[in-house]
Amino acid sequence: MLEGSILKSLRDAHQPENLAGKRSLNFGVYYKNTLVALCHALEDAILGQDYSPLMITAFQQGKWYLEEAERYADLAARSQQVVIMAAPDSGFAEHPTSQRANVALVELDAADAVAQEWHLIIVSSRYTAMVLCQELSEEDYGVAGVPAADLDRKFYGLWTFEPSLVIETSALAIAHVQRYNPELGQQVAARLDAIAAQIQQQDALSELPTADHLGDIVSRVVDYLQHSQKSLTHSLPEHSGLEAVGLDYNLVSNELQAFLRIAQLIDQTDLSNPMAAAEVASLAESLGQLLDLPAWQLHRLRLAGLLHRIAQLQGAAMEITPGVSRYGDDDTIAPSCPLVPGTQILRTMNRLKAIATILNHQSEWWNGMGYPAGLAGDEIPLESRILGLVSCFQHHLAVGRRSNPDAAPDVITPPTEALPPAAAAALAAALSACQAQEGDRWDPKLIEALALLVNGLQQGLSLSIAAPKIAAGMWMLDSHAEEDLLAAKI
Amino acid sequence: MDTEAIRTGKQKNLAGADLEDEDLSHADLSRITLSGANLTGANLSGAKFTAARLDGANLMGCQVKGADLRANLLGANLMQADLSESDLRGANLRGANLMQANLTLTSLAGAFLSGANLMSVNLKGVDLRGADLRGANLSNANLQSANLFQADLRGAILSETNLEEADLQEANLAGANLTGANLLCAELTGANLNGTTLSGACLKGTILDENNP
Repeated sequence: MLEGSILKSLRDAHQPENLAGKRSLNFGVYYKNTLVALCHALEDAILGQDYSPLMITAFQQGKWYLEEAERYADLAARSQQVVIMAAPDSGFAEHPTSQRANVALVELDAADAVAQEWHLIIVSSRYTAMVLCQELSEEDYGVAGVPAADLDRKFYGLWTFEPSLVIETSALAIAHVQRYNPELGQQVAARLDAIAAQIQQQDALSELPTADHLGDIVSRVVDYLQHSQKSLTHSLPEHSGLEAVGLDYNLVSNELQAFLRIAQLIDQTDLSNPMAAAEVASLAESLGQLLDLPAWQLHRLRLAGLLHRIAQLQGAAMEITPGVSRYGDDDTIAPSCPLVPGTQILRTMNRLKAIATILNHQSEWWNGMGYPAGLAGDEIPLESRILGLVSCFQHHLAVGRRSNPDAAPDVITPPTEALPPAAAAALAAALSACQAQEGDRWDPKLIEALALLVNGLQQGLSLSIAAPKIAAGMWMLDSHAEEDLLAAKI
Repeated sequence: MDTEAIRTGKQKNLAGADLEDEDLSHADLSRITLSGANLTGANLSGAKFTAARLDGANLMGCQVKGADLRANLLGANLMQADLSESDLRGANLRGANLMQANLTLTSLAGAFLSGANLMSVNLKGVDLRGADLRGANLSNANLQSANLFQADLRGAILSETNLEEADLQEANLAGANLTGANLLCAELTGANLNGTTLSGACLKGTILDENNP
């Protein structure tokens, strides 16, 4: 990582010794076309809304900015301020966009590490997003050398919607701007402070993610990445097969990441249950193992667990009452099947169709009194039944831990030792809360399996609950992901 | 060879049998003994080998796609076999030869692969959580974005291995050789790197923690 780069500064601030209260970063690898699609999607999110954000960007060279300068005129019109960092090229400062009152150019020295970086930072009180990365150096490319085609250039870094991380990075970028232009730096820093104060105030008021239109934003990200995939297919003849496969994989991986990042954000904003996704995923997979499900189904179950809270997006799930149908325009599901709106965004990615169906029916009841479709018994997809039960169980567990901090999982206990009494009691309480609804809400067979699992956990069986590496989620996508679960049953 | 007797489960002990090019696809062969059997070129796709004995069997070039292989494959020859989408969780593959095998979309979680030959194998995005890969030869293999959470890679050969974006959290890499490996953006939080050789490895964007400066 280049000395003096913003990416390195952020990474240093997140080294374990400085980590108090922060999470470690989740880096990924991106090809240039992935970055273009990502940045366009994140930028275009501000066009239809009145977020009035502060935008700070780094373009490596002025010529890359000039390619985007027309678009940036529209973006600037929607922003309070746009700061553009790049090594100057001819015509760079003269472009009409550069002349706009709220657009400021920072001409980077050629030796500045930031001139090797690609940044897009968007901060507003209701929408934060960023792409922060650095191009591989000649030696990083290894024996293959620097690729000849622009499309094959590789970057590494991260992208995210997390408000705290975006604000932290903005401050680092502003400090860099300050070195070139102290006056501009101060002015932008004041804007950032004002936005940060607004976000903090909102956080105090609600537990919901900062962005109101998260669903739309993610759909756009996936849409743009898919569009990039399609144009990749068209340019295929110019590319060797292997390279195209790599580029395509990178795009699909980032489509999946878009959903995983949203799920992560939902967890982070819920301070009362911040590990819900990871914990539900591990519990669901373990329950699936007890039921001897095949490996591909366990992978699918884990992914559904990690994404399960997306169904709650927009608070929409609660608004649906049984019998009131909402129809999807997707012909692969039965037309009579009502949808939980939060799961609709998953359908924008073909390979998540099965996951969308699983999440859609996680709120069905065994006796048919649930929603959205009022399915009963074995009509409810097995994975939906598992996920519904496990997330309810985990919710009770989280409530129990909040009221009794001693019940929190104890990392010091060696895995072979029985749990401390408070933790064992919390598990028992969560289980009996679920058992109380056996036969009504939950499948009795699954309650039996859950009891077995709880017994194991009380005896010291430990589930490895680690925050997933978001860039490495592809192992959970498998050939069955597109399967139509409801049709397969009949 | 009477494959019908095998399919119906009448024949359970076939140690050393010659089943070359036979079609046993989608058969339930759980608990069958095929130790040292010759299965080269056989079609075993979708077959069920739960708790079967295939130690020392020759499955070279076999079609085993989508099979349940939670079996004993100790020292088996799986060269060029198509194992894609097969279930190898907890399988005993110690000392097995998997060179040029197709392992895409398999699950190898908790599999025992110590001393196995996985040279140049494509394990891109494969589930290897908690797998025992002690002393395995993974040189030149592609483990891009593979899940190696809590995998045991002590003394494994990972020279020139592609571990880009791999999840190596809590993995044990003590004494492993990662010369010239690509660890770009790999996650190594909680991993044990005692005596690990990392010369010439690409560590850009790699997450290491305080125990491993």
